[in-house]
Parts: sequence; structure tokens; C-alpha cells
Amino acid sequence: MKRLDVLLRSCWHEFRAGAGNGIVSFTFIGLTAYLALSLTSAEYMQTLGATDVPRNGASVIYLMVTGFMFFLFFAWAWIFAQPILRDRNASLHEAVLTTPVNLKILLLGRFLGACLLGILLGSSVLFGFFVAPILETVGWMPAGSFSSTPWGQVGFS
Amino acid sequence: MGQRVDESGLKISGLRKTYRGGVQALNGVDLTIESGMYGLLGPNGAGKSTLMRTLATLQSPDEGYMTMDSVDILAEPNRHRQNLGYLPQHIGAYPGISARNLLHRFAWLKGFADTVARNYEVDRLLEKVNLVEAAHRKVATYSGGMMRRFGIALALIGSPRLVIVDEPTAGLDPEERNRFHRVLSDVATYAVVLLSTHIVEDIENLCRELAVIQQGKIVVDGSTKDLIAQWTGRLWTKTIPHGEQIPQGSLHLSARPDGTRMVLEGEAKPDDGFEAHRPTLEDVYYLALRNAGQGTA
Repeated sequence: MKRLDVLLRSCWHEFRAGAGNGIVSFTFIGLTAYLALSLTSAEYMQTLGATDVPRNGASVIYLMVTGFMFFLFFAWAWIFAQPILRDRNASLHEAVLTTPVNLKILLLGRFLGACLLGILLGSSVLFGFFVAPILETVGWMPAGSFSSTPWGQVGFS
Repeated sequence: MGQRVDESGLKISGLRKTYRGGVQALNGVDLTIESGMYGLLGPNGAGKSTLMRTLATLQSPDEGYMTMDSVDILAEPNRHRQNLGYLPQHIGAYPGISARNLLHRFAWLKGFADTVARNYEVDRLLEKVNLVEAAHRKVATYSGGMMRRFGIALALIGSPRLVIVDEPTAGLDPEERNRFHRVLSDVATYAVVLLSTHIVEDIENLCRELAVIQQGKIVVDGSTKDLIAQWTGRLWTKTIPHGEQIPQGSLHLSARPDGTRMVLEGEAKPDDGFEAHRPTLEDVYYLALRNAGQGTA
């Protein structure tokens, strides 16, 4: 079997297994909702004098991302443990280890799949700021709360 | 290590393994299995699992060499794995995955890259273990017997030449046990099947040859029939009623509704209370352990 085939397929299996797990989707939705909640509850900032700061301003993005890191740290730890733990939890590790597949390539593929999942979770910040203007449209935030999306800062975050 | 032997079957020579902490799990195991089903008996901690895990390339020995159909297992583990089926004592499944999909995944790991060939192999195995109708069901919902049959299907992907099964019928009801035996017996027509179990009756029924392992050494091996036959006329039995003192020197004791049945070995009948006992593999097992220095009665 070709190594690239093993790499790509194990990467895809890992991504699919992770994405199909409730923890990843729950964390993604949870973080996005948390962002929306923070942005819709920021009137006190204006009371404090931050009248010219848009809710998707660069500093707000950096602040939120820093806060997200606390949750993402635990989610990523779970995601990156799965390539090893999934087989063991399912009592299939011995069956996998007795197949003639190159173990290093198999694990590399799985960790690449886990990386994609990690990026997907991390992109909840990007996704959140991308959909946040909808909150303004539906009237959950005062008009003019958002400026044009600072893509550079969002991307860097 | 690294030697080649141009013969078919499994050959093990001088296998030694000592775990950290000084436990000597294998102490110079030599074994030759040419074909068919081979039984491996031994008490807990005798080294059976270590031997099987070593043959399955899950761990390395400290010394010795092993070949399967002339393939040096230690030097070419991946080549050996192409022809290896291993069914561990505990096997499960990924949550939410059907038997067919899981078999597909393992068939792919075994080298069935072509979809048509993989489909054919998966269908063949589901048919063999009688799981066609339950193939779409999640494996996690299977009963114990179905899980064991699914496990043997996993082990048989690619029609391996060496199949290692560890305690395969533990916890199965008689019907499932018999069904599982028929599958194993069929596999033994074209492969070497190494069967490790505590159920002596299983080995007596299924295996033409066996070995008894004790403290990392093979203490007895050979034809099941011959090993049993050599004790004919040398075993005696008596049932001791409840409450009576059990005499010393028994080979093994077993509970009976009216008391305790003792079996002992001797050239002549000890007294009139005893009667001749037709030897069984269980007796051979106890005799092997006793002669190796660990009587259990």
C-alpha cells in the first residue's frame, strides 16, 4: 500500500471520527455562542466611555481570542489524544498494531487529521466574527456597532 | 536472531523474555507447529499471553528466533503481519460504526486497497462468520457471541497462514461456543491456528496437538491422543462424601453433588474404594504441572 494513500486516508478517518463526535461540534457551537453573547452584552463598555470602539475592533478580537484559548487548550488536548486513545478505548489497539501498515505513517496521518480538527475549532473565532453582523441586522445590537471586518487581525488571531 | 529455516509452519526456538522487575515470562521456549489447530494450556501467569503477543509482533523477545513459513518474524515483522490474524481476549469497536464498515477499514489496513477486492473479502468473511444479516448494525450493540465472531472475521482478513486466538470462547453460551469452534476448525484446514484457553475440553475436542506451558517453559507437548493414552491404567478415582477428610496425594479434586471427586496417579489401585479412571486432557494438564513442580490439588 502506498504511503501517501495511508497518510491521506488515516488523516481523513481521523478528521471524520473527530468531526462526528459531539465534543467537537458542541465546542464549536459553544465558542461561537459565547462570542455572540459577549458581543451582545457590551453596552457597559460604552457607559465606560468606549463609544468609538466597534465590537469587531482589533483589540476586541485579540481580547476574545485570548479568552478562547483557555477553552481551546482543553479541546485541543482532547483532540490530539484521540489518535492514540481511540483504538485503546475501543480495545482495537492490538488488532491495529498487528496489521502490516507503517505505524509511523498511520500516526502521522491521524495527527494531521487532528490538526485539521484543531484548526476547525480555532476557526470558531473567525466564524463568530464573520456571522456577528447578523446580530446587528436582527436587532440584538444597536446599529453601527460593527465596522468593516478587520480580516488581517481575524486571520492573525 | 535473524536465521532462516526453509520449512513451512511455525518454528520457535530459544525464546526468552524477562520483564522489567525481573519477571521471567518466557524461559527458552521451543515449539514447532506444522499445520492445523494447536492448543496452548497453562495456568495464569505461565507465559501464554507473552508468547502469543510475541508471535503477534506486539512485543519483542530478549533472545531466540521465530519463523513462519520461512519468514523471520523478528527481521521482517510487516511481511509476517501480512499472513497473521490475531484475536485478542478483549476486542471492541469504535462507537457508532457498523460491522461492514469496520471490516472495510481493517481490510484496507491489511492491504486491500482495491475497493472491489475489499468488498469481496468483507462479504466472504461476513458469510463465513454468519453475520451477513447483522452487518449493517453497530458493532457496539452486538452480543458477546456476535462480538467474538466479528473478532474472528477481523482476524481472518486476507486468509492468514497463522491465526492466534486468546481465550476465544470465554463467556459464550454453548451454542455460540460450538458455532465458534466450527469456524476455527474450518480455518485450521488451511492455517496454523494457535488456540490458548483455560477450557481444557475445548483443546481436547479441537486440537490434535498441544503444549502445556508453565513458568515460561513448555513442560509437555505432543499429540493430544498420545498424551492422554500414556496414562491409561494409571489413574484412579474416588468420591469422598461431604464432611469426610480428603486424603493427601490427590492429583486434582473436583466438586460433585455427593461430595468431592479425587483423582490420583499410581501404578496400582490404592484401595477397594477407588476405581479405574479413564484419563482426560484435564488429567494430563494436572500431571504436567505436577511433574514440572507445581501440583495444584
